[in-house]
Amino acid sequence: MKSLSRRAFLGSRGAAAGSTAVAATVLGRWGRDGNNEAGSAVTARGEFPNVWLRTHENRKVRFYDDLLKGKSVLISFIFTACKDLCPMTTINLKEVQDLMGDRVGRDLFFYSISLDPEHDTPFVRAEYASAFQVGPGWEFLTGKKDDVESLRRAFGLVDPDPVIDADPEQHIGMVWHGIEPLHRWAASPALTSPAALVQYVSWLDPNGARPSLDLRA
Amino acid sequence: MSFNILKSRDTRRTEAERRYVQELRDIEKAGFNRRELLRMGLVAGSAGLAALYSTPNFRPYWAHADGLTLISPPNTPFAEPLYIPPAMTPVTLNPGPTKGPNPSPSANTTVLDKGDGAYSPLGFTEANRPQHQRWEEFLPARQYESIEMPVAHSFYPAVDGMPPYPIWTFVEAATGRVAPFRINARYGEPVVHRVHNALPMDNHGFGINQTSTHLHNGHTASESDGGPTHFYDSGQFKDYHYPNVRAGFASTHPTSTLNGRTVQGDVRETMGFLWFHDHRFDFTSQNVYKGLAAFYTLFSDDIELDCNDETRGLRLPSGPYDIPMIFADKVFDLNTGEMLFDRFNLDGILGDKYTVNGKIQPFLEVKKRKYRFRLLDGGPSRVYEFFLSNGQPFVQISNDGNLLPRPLTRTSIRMSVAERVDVIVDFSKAKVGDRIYLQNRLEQTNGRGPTGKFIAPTNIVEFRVAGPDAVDDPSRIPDKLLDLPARRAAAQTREWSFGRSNGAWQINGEFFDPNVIRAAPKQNTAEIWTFKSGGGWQHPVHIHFEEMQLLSRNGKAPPIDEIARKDVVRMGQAALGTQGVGETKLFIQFRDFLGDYPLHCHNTVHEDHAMMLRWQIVP
Repeated sequence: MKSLSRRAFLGSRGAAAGSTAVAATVLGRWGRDGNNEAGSAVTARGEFPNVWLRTHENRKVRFYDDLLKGKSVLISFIFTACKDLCPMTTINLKEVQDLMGDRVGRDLFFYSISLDPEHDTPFVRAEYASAFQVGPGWEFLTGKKDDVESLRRAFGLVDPDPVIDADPEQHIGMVWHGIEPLHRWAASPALTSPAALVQYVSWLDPNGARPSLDLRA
Repeated sequence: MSFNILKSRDTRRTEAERRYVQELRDIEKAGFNRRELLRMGLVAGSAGLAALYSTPNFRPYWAHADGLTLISPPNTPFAEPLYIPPAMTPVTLNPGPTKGPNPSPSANTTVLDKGDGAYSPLGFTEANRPQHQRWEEFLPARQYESIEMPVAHSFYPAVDGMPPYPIWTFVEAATGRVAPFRINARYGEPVVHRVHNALPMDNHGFGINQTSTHLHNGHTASESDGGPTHFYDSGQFKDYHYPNVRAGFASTHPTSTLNGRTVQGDVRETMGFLWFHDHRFDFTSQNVYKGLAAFYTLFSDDIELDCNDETRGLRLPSGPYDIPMIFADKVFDLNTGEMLFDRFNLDGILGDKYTVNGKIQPFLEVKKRKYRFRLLDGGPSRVYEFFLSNGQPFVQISNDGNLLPRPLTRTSIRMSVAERVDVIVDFSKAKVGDRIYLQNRLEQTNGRGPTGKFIAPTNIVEFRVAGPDAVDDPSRIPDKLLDLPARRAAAQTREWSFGRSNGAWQINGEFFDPNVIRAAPKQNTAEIWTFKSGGGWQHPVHIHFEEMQLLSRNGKAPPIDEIARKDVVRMGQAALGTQGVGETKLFIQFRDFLGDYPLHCHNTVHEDHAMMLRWQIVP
């Protein structure tokens, strides 16, 4: 964790609250220690767990600090032993990556986070990434079970039925696309057509393409 | 008749809540992490606070974050009057509206500051759009102008001392008045509503400054529908053209006659209570939650029907006695009072505070006479069952804002998101000083839908009966209102089956694709559509453009209040009473205009996760 203490955080927050309501919103009421250093991690519901993860190239990264902060991202949750949905998702997102070309890794980062971290070691994930021939700008991530679980829950990918939720084969197949510094987040079915996913990402971008006149009526 | 009046508040309970919140604030000031303290059991905990509340059916539902339970600061109930939506003032747009996108930028030099910075529409350009259909036939007789911008606002009454914070809403350019206001439109008077998008990039955590203003239930051409993919950016405006003409005018009913008056279109398609709200794809729940919603009331004095005049036509309560209310449940930050939104929630969102026209639990001083209340469930996900605390029934005169064949006397009214119901409430038998409450009794514990059970009521609006004892009330409750339109042979039948695959919404097994048109009904035809849905969720399914008539619910005749013209139909869990509805058959027509429209779930959280399809009327 970074070094700003909760006390210091609260102190700065109090100062902000004293000035204007606008300033008060910069820092999150529900922030956890260490996540609000730059005052940018606040979301309307809370913050993103800043957990340690490993990339498929075995780099150690912090979820918020290294992967999210200041970036546009497309986040999926998959696991290598998953029979159908996960490979289909990965194939689908690979098409999105192909359509976006070298913008991936520059304007937009893809993250596929393992729901089966005990099995999905960086080595397994590297194989998985190479099997799908994914390009740069796409990290396959794994971590401690509890950490990955906290990420899954933070992104709301939890089925309300606990029986379904406990069955990995029925995990929620939604992808999140977001622009972290602008607090813009939207979710789409992971198997949405690749062209449509590219459109959604562009529409989210203040300078991105807009719906064609056909879609604008 | 004696009235059983519920006490408005329990002073001791309020005091306990205040002490609790003060305790939390003191702890924060001292620099401790409240969450850690909660773990150590040093404070009562959020469950303890929830237990203090008398609103068991009104806890927030924020899906799945670890250990995260949000409780809003307590409010003083019934401390401020209900905001009465003012009627917008017609203006002369500059430059004047044009058939195609306006070649000239906005010359409106107005500068408005509503407490969160100054905004002006000067220099805004019109968003690209197709030309208005049937523009020359319906040249605008009334023009209105709004600016979507931040407004510093608190939903809490002033006595609670919550600082204002920026919401996003419509502000009337000419007067600076803030939504929810109303456009009082009339049949035979086409309207252009110019909507400037002046929203900033800074969204304070949620929302997007791209908008598309949908006139819900409008018989409007596609380019003025405000569909989800029709959005435009900040710095632009769009002219929405509302011809205020009845369906069938260019097809089945070039003219029709009622009360000796002959007009264009089918008089039985006359509408009354519509609303407009942002509909930006993937962001409708966020932007509407932020405040982008207002009313559109459409009067039919041209056929001496709903005349906005208590001495003419149906003589419904009018003027100051015709009051729209938008119900929206929200959660606020315990410390700052700021409105919060759970973006990472796929189920649906519940708040723990009832707001009506922008204030939590307002009161309304009423005279001893009849009132017309226009109720609108503004979402995002809550379903209500409204009662009056004194056991008095409502007289329901509309469903989805469309007049029923005849008034219905009903002790309670269920409404899902985007449904509108006009009711008449007669206070003439109340005693001066009585307090009567509009209550919700429907249990709902998560965003998926209500349980269908009734539980202890939560009071939402307090009606304070004021003097004098004798009031002149020329309004009437008529015996008959408006017959349903005739149905005709269907050219086509279609079935739409709503499902969920690995947590993602599907219709007929397919995911939404904005580039795909899923149905292409021929212009001026009728069709029969069947909706199918499983249990465990409720979906208020909305079809844009023309209303539907429900033919059957689970194979049986629809209940009496649904023998109506509907544009939202509740499907799935607790759609009717405690019953689920797995199948609904409906009749719908596609007349007069061409172009694309959506069908979608109006639980705006489901809608934003692509529970939607596009269809298009073709020649």
